[in-house]
Amino acid sequence: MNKKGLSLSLAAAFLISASLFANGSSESDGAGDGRITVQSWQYALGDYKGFSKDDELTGAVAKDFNASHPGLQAEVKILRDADHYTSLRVDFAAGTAPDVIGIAPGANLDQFKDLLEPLRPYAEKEWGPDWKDKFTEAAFTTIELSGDGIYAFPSAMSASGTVWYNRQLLGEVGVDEFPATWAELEETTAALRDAGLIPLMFGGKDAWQSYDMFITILGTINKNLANKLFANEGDWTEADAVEAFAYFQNLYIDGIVQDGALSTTLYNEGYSLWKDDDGNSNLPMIFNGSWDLGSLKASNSYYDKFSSYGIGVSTFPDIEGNEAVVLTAPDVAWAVNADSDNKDAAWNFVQWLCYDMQQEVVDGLGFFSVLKDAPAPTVALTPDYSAAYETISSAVASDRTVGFRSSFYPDMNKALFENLQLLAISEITPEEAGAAMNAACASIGR
Amino acid sequence: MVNFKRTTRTGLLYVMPLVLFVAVFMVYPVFYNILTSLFDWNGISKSKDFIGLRNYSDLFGDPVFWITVKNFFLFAFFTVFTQAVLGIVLAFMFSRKFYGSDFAKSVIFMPAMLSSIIMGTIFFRLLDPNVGFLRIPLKALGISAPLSNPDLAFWVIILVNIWQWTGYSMSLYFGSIVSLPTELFEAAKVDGVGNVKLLTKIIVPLVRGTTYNLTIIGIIGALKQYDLVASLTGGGPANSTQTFTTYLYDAAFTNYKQGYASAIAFIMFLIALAVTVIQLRMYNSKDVG
Repeated sequence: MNKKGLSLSLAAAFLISASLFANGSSESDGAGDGRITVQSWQYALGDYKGFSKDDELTGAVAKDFNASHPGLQAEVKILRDADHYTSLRVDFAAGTAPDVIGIAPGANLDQFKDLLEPLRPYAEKEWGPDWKDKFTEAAFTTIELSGDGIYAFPSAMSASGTVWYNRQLLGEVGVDEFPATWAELEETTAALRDAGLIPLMFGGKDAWQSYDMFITILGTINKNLANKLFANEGDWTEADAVEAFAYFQNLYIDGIVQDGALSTTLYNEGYSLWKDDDGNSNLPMIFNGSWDLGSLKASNSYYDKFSSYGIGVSTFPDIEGNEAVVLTAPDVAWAVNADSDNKDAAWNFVQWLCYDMQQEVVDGLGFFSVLKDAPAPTVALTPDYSAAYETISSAVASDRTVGFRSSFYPDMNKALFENLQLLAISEITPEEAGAAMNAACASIGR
Repeated sequence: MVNFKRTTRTGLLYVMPLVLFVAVFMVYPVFYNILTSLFDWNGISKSKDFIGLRNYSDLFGDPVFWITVKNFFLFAFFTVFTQAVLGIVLAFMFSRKFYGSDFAKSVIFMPAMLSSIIMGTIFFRLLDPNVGFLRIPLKALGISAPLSNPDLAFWVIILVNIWQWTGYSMSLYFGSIVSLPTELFEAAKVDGVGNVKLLTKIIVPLVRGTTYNLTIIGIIGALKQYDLVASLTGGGPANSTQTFTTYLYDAAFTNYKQGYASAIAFIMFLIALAVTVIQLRMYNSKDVG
């Protein structure tokens, strides 16, 4: 081949390959044929029917959906949390986004809603005008907060703001009951430190742990103020807000949380000490949520070893005589791509997971149902699981709940996390934190 | 007779694939990024609001941005300087064979072969104030949780980087030193020049080309520093260890401010451009050995 021929061949090969890249393959190219693609992040499907490996889990979900929906065929994929959202950005821009998208209610949902199908008409068609009566009030708190439509449906609720504890290790320092008040918490953690044990394990490097902790404290002190502040309708310098900042700061100053909490993430640094791969537990207390109920199932490897420590769960200790709140909010939601060619089939998947499969949610996911008439677990439960489930579900059923775990506004979340970290290192006072939050929230559109 | 017209056309066809590649994957993204930095955009929505230079004015008014600038200079200066000094001293030491020198060289170079994420994760575990192996010696020095201390955390990152990359500096200097004429060393020996003088007055000036290269690589590395920060501190505590890239990632992917993140990227681009211009001038200078 002469030079010219070679160069022309190279150029042609390049252009052909470039055009192939540019063309891509649309995930939604099965227009109207009942094929749908589903993508979510890892824990959104929990341990569906006991499966924990990614491919087995997604395969089981797809198989069950396909079997119960003749003519429809779902292909399910799960990614790590950050990868899921990063890939969605690229896929939406390229027009290859999946038909059904797992999405976290709150700020994530709010950012993506322009690209999602409004689902209210589908729900009305499916269940009639009173469809909302089928769901708990809390199920839509962080989905409808912006008040402009429903772009996702929740499939599972979680409860956080709780402390999981190890009776055996607490017993080593003479503590028989989980601390009921903040003062008792201080005494217990001081005793644990004196005994060379780690006090309350807290992932201060995680934004979500910091929000959970602060909202639990603030909600316990003044629930109404918490609701107002996170809807960007309150004053962060109000006495109760400043007091909540002060309590948060004392977690670090008084050594209630472990040394180095600011550089610890709960998963997996903190959690691996709470329960390692052999079922050993080296922590007396950990700040965590209801999603860990699965660890108390007999089917877990080394359950007997783990259970022998006497694992319990409690709401946070009372603060100034106020019974602690738990944060109960939809943890996982599902949306339909507004550009999907198979919107009806995609809605069928959402409806199936968020309504038909609630028994599986309760039985297998370590979450709570979004339905008002929530099904009770039908699988055999261990005594530890039953006791923990009872504690959390009665807290969720009480009026001591807050219905969100962060703000709808990314700017408010960012400012709050920064100020909580500054409080932790005593760089600012609680009053200054309040003023800084007001300044940060002033420019947020209401 | 050569047909220049035809030769030029064939030449253009040869370079066309590469020109297209560079234009599509390098030039276009730079201009698209500059354009994006002029918009208020969350990186997801189809609509963007044009806000002119407001992202830049917000950026220059943001105290965290100035922390990233300070950290860039600290990181660039201390890692480049320390790695160069340790690297050249080690290379000089190993330029004379002794028992176990090859093994020692390999061990010192080994961390450079591993990913920074792995390095960061290992040191994170070692430094854990509750279960880490280094907690006891650190406690004896009065240091409890260095990664949670905003005054210490960035220095830990710098130290880990030095630990990882000194072997790389050493290997480049070693290559330069052993390629110097042996007569030079023999003459120095005859003249009774001591090791310190030999190193500082003769070797350092002669291997300055390697020093320039390591400086440029180090500065660009400081500009792009992400892995160690992400695995050790995530930019915290309280933003004290933020670098350009971690700050950019947070802006784009955590806080949904794609326009703002693009403004950070453009500032990084300008710094990289300045470094590259200096680098090219150095290469074109006759002084570089």
